[in-house]
Amino acid sequence: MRWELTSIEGQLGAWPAADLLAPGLTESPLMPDEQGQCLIGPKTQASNRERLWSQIGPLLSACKPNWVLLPEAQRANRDWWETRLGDIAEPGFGRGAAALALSQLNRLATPGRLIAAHTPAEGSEGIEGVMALEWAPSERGMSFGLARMDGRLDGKTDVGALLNLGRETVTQPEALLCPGTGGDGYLERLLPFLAELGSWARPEVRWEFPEARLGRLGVVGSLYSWAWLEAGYRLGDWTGPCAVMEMDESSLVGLSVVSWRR
Amino acid sequence: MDDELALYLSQRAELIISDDADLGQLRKQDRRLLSAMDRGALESPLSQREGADEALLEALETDPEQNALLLEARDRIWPGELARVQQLLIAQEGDRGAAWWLAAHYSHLPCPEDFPSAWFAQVWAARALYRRGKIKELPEPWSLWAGAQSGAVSVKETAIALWEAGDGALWEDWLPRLLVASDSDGASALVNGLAPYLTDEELIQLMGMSCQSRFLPWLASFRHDEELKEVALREVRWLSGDQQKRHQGRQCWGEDVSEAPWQQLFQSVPLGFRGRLWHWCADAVEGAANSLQGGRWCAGN
Repeated sequence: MRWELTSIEGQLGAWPAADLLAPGLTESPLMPDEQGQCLIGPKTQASNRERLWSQIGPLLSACKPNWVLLPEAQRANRDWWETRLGDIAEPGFGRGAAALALSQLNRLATPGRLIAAHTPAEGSEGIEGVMALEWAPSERGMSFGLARMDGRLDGKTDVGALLNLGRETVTQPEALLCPGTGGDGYLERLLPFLAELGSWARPEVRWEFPEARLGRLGVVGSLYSWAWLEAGYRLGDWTGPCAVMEMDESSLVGLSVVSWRR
Repeated sequence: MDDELALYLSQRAELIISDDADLGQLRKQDRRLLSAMDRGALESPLSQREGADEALLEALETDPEQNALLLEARDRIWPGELARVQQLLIAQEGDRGAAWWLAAHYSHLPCPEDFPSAWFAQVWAARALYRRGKIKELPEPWSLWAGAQSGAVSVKETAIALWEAGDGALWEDWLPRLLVASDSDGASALVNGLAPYLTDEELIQLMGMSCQSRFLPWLASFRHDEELKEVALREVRWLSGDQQKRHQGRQCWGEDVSEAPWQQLFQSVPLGFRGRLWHWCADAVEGAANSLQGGRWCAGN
């Protein structure tokens, strides 16, 4: 089964998300405020969950399966989200949920949407964003050799086992898409498992941090990375199998291996 | 060309000659151009699908080495563009330097018919025809150049003949192939034979480009020469890489030339040195070192 990205919607700070995937020849146009934040609109009295919901709601598509990726901190509000989303969408918490959503989409084999929203916490740097990626089965495009979420909420997650699975799927990917900016600590949980990276850590493998040039996008960064990966294939930036690592504050991590056909 | 694109190209040109920058940086830079062009986010007519031909042909004929990038990016977004524009370039009057340059770097493109008279176009015409095995179409002194590469003619005499014919112009583009074809004594004879024509800096560069490890001690001895230190140590780096390895015979970036992992070096050698790999890898590469994403390794095709 192959998948084509048929639409990219949403907004990062003051900019349409699609514009920031092709920002032109100059540096990122995002202009952080004095708190280091780029918000979609001014802060109001609304709670974080209500603010996120107001951004996600308009992007839900009633006639297709939807997966909504929320910040890990919203896991405490699971019931609230399930009430809001009803049977239109399934909520996931943390970036690892993107791998789970993609594996479910791949099994369903019908067009579907992944939606993510993030708003920086009071006093911390980051970009407020909401993104929706719509995927449809296609003759050309991306296929999933692996799309797996793993981990335990109540204990330690063995990232090594997931990496072993990844290396069994592809000995050496052309590029490894890493979560976050490189400076946000997302990759720290990889440190105990460096040995399991094996050939993935060789210098020929391009470790890419798509979000690094924008700033902290939280869970939205996951969808930004997937759109970046897809555009990279289309533009010939890479042609071979690539791996996508999903890690953040959540105990759950995701790993996907994809390949591409023109 | 509008300011935004001109600025991008000049920043990229600086990156290309940097001995510190790597291929990953170039790829990041080129991704910006590709995605902006793909989205139609650039103002320049060179980045528009329709109506670009006049500006494109002018840019290519003015400086094919720098501006081929724009054509390559167009071809990536609108496949077939490279071949279409090559036909337009071949149909132009004159020496068709840009068409020969493209033919030298892309084996699937057609060549213009007549061998050119301008030296720039001759250098690339020779490489284009040699690459296609059309050695009989090469006039003198380029027939010598082809002969020397197969061992039929002395590399030293060929080098002197070509140097005199072109007054040494573009020697970095035609001379290294003679060094690749030389054995150790042949390379020494070539270097000695050309020495009277060369500046000290050129002589040092030539020794490095020959990849002969026998020149290493001599090159390293320049570390005490304030004036030539930098250029000589750069050649030491080309020969021994960052690990300072020494081999017998010929070596490049610390690897024995006879078993050098060229494909790996193609990815890892700093941008400023990458262009030199082309002489050693010849037909395994499409595009040039300053092409989109640094050219493409395609051995086996």
